Amino acid sequence: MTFGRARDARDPLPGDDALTSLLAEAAAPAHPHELAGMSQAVSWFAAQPTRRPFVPAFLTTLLASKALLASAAAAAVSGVALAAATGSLPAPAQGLAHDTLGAPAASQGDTHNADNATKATKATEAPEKADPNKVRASATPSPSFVGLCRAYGAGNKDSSGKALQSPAFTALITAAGGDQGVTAFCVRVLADASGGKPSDAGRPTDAGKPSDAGKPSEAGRPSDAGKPSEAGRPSGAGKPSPLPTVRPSGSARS
Amino acid sequence: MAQAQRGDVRAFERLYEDVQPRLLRYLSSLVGPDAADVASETWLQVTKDLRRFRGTGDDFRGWVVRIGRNRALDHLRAASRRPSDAWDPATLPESGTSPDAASSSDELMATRRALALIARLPPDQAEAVLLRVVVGLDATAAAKVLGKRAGAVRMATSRGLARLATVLEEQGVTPARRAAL
Repeated sequence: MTFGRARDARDPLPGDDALTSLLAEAAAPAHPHELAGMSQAVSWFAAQPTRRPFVPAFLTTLLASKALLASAAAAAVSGVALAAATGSLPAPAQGLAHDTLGAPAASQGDTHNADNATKATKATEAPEKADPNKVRASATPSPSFVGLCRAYGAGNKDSSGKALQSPAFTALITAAGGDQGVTAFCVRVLADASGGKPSDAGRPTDAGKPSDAGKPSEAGRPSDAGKPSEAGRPSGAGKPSPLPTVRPSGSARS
Repeated sequence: MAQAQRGDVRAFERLYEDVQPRLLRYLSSLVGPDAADVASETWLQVTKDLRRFRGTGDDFRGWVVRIGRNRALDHLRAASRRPSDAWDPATLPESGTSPDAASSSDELMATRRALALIARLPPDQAEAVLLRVVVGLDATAAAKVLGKRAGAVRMATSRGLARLATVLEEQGVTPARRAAL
């Protein structure tokens, strides 16, 4: 350990045994009694929700822009959009609205989009509340997951298993219902995205450029929302995150 | 770090084992015998905010210690309304007065004596030395904890170390003799 040297005449030399020894004692390894509070701290830790749905910055931006689009559409065709958003149009019209406005599908709704559109048009009551199970069971997974799944697949090739440790995948894990379900979930998502060709799922780099999730710089950037309330920004907030960051665009380029 | 943030208890325990002794020793220079209570409050806050934390393991130390410092300052403000609780650093880590004296090892007593000497420094020097030597922060990270510039922390650390060296010299205490005390 080195310290800035004082210009003082009494500057302690690195070889000052007494001082060195004193500092070593002050910084000695943990004494057992110092860890006496561990079980209490662990119980507090365990009492926290194990996974809060973390929405990466780029996804938030994506969803916000979707909401803006829906809002603009609502201004243009207000009555139709509102009806479409709440899923109350006749089936053929609802299908059209689903394709063009991101409104719910005719019969089984994509609750993700329904929720956004409902918010955008300030409708107070949605006929179908967003329900995680419903999203999971939806025949049409949100397009946002396509990018995440491609990123997951790309990361998996390089360092299997590690990819999911990135916070960017928390939303994906949540949607898949756990770590174990991610692969199956992504196979389905990518199969749907590529028009029913599951073979693409295994070759993420062949699937073209990941459109949304392919920016590691965004995914790895600490967000302001993540600012610890008490202590402000951690000292390394500006440094690259040490968390394993998947680089789907990098592997696509190379 | 990432594992702990995803709820891995074992990973959290490793973080605790790394940071808690450092935190406790640092806090003891601020609040004396109440350091354990303040450290406990600190961890309650840390577990609440852990998933919002972004940074490396090194950043984590600084983050925890900064929370701990804020808690300690709150504690001192509350204690200042009860003047009889004022703490004299010279009274703290003497052998025989601690509740776990019976189980104290020589190493533990050496650590306590060292911390007691550091705690007798002027407060800004004591904090700077502890943050750098015991907590293991670099000057920049320590400066963030203290809300100062890195240069000021370097200066305070140097002066604190120089003063410690002088005190040791005046006492004529060599490591060997000190261990025998």
